[in-house]
Amino acid sequence: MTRAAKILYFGALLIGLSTGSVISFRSTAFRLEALYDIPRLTAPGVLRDFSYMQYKNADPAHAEAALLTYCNFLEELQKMYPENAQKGELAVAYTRLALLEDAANNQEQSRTYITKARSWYSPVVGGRELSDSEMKFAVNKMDAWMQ
Amino acid sequence: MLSGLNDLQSLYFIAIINANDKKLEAKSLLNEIGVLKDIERKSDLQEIKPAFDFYIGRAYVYAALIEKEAHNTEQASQYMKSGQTLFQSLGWTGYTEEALRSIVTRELDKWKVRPQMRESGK
Repeated sequence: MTRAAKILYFGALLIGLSTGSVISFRSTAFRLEALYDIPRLTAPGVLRDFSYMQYKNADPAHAEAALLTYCNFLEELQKMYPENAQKGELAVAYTRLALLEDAANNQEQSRTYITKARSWYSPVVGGRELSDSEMKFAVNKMDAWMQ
Repeated sequence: MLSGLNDLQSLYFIAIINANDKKLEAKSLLNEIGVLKDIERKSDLQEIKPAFDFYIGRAYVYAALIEKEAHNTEQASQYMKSGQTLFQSLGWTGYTEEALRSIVTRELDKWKVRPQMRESGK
């Protein structure tokens, strides 16, 4: 084999290996990124189901604690990965908190929660405002449907 | 916290799988409960400890249903009591055996593969 041929083959080998490495790295990085994202996508569902079951079955103090844990978690997640779906979830959770306060006749606390619910809901629907009673009616309807 | 919640999700999937396969016994569910109890003890997960208790409690009730179906009444009663203790600690107002069985059965029924679905998948 001539010297020129050796250089040519070695060059081809280097190009082949480096191209393969780059393609393989990019493909693996994409898969790892997807795997890394899985907990972020599934975790809220776990707390959503838990807080809903507590809301439906536990005493008011435990139900409120579960809903607040869910809201705090979603608000933290929202800071890192803002998504409209999470805003909708926050609106529903805060409305449930307001309904709990209504049942306990704590009107002031209820207003605080429903104001928060509206602040999360409004941007999702392009600034359209819903009244307190409309928000509560919608969440009650949804909960009745889920049962 | 995210990984802790993800572990809970895995228990949920196991419950779903068991709901579709009677051959899978309560044993696998109980192994998973053991793993989750270990994770739950981590100090940084105290904020979501009640969520762990809820899913572990639900798994106990489901294990009780499986044992009852297999006529292991003593074991079933033991699992049901463990579940009831957890639901009581979570502030549930209705944690009788009947109430818990009804809730868990309804939950798991949502995930059962119906015969027509299996046929249409062929």
